[in-house]
Amino acid sequence: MRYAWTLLRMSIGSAFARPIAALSAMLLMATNNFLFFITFVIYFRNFTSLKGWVREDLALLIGVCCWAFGLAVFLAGGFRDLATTIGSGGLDPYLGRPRHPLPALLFSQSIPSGLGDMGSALVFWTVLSHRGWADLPMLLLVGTLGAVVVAATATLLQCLAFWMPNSGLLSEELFQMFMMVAYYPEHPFGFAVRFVLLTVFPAGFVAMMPVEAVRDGDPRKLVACAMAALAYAGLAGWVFERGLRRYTSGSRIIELR
Amino acid sequence: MQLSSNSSALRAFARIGWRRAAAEPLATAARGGLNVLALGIFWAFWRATPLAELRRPELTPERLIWYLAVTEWIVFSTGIPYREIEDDIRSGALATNLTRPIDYARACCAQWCGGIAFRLPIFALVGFVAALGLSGTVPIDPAMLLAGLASVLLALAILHLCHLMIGLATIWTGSAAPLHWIWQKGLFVLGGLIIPLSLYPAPFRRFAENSPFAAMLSAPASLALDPSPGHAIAVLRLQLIWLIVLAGMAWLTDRAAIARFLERGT
Repeated sequence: MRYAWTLLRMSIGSAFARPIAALSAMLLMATNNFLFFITFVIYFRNFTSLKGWVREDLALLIGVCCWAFGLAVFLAGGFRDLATTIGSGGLDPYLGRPRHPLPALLFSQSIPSGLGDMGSALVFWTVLSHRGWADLPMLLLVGTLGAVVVAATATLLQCLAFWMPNSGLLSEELFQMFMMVAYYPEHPFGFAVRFVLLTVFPAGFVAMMPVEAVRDGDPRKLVACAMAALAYAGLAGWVFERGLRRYTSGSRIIELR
Repeated sequence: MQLSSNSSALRAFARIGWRRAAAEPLATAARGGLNVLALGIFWAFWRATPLAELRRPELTPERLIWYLAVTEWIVFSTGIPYREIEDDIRSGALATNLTRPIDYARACCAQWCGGIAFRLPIFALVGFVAALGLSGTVPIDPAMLLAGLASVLLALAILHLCHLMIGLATIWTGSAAPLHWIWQKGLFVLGGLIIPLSLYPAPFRRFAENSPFAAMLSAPASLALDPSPGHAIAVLRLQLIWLIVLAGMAWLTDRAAIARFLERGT
C-alpha cells in the first residue's frame, strides 16, 4: 500500500506541475459532461420516458460513468499508454525494479481531467438526479467498483500489444467502444446483448448494474458489481502476467542508469 | 511549374494518407465494429422511445436509424486527425515539416484526404449494411443520392478544417484535447449527432440549425428525413457558406500558429 501511495503521490504531483493547465482540463471535462447531458434533456422534453427511465435516471447513470472513468484515469491513468509502452519495449525499466511492474505502470500517470469527471458526477447525482446526500456513500461505492472495471478492461485491451505489437490504436478504439456503450442506457436491450455486456464486454458493470443496484436498492446487484470488479481486476493481472512471458526487451535497460 | 510540382506533392501526401489508413486494418475493423455497435444501440434506443407522443408520423425508428447512419458515417470516416498535428507540435516534428517546400497545413489536409478516400467507402458499406439489417428498409430517395454525397463531402471538408484549427491550437494551449472535447460535444449537441435538430426547442433549434456544427452533421443527415430538392439546396447553401468562412478562419489560424511557432517554438 505504501508503494502504491508513493507512486500515486508522484504521478498526481506531476499532473499538477502545471496547475492552470490541470485546472482548465478539469473545468473543460466537467463542461463536456454537462454538454453531453443536454442531449438527454432535449430527449426527455419530447418524450415522457425511455422504457420506464426518466431524465433523473439518465443523470444517475451518467454520474456513475463519470465517477468510474474519472477515478480510473485520475488514479491509474497509465493504462492509456500501456500498449505503446509494451510495443516500444518500454517495460524494461519497470522489469528491473523489485516490485511487480503493473502497479507502477498503471500509477505512472494521473490525468487531472479525471477530477473534473468526478466533480461533475457529484452534480449529476445530487442536483440533476435529485439523490439525497444519504445515497452518496452507496453511489461512491458503486462508482468506485465501476472504476475498477474500467481500469481492468482498459488494461486487458492494452495487453493486446503483447500479442500484436502495433495494436495501440486498436486498443484505443476498443476502449472508446467500451466507454460509449457504458454511457448509454442499456436496459432497452434484449437478453443476448445484456449478457454480452455483462461478460465478454463488461460495460454493463460500469454503470448499468451499479445504477440498477442503486435504483432498486438490491444488495444482490451490489454484490454482483463487487464480484465483477474483483474478477476483472484478477483477469487483467493474469493476462498481463501471461503477456509478460512473451515480452522481448526493447533494449531500453540503459534507462535504468 | 510551381503549381504542377505542388499538386504532385499534394498527391504524394494523399497517397501517404491512404497507405497509413490501409496499414491499420484492425483499427479500421474495430472502428467499423464501433459504428455497427452505435447503430445497434440507437436502434434499440429509438424502438424503446414512445415516438407516437410526438405525433409526427415521418419520425419512425427506421428513418431515425438512417439519419444516424449518415451522422455516424461522417464521424467514423473522420476519426481524430487533429492529434497528428498535436503530436507534430509537441514532439517538435513541426520544425522539420516546415523546412519542406510545401505548406504544412496543405500537406496535412492532403494526407487526410487520402485517409478519407480509403475509409469513406468502407464505412459507407458498413453503415449501409448495418442500417439495412436493423431497419429492413432504405428510406432514401435514389434521386437525392448525388446531393447527399455532395453534402457528405462538404461536411467532411468543414470537419477537417475544424480539426486543422484545433490541432494548431496546441501551439498556444500545449494540449488540444480539452478544446477538442468541447468542440466534440458542440458537434454532438448542436450538430444533432443523435437527435435530429427538428426535435429541439424552437429558439435553440434555430441557433443550432445555423451553426457550423449543423453543416457538419445534421444538414447532410437531414436529407434522410426530408429528401425534397428545396431542402437539399438549402443544406448545400448552408454548407458552402460555412466552408468559406471556416477556410478563411483556418488560413488565419495557420498563419498565426506558424508565426508563433517560428518565434517562440513550442
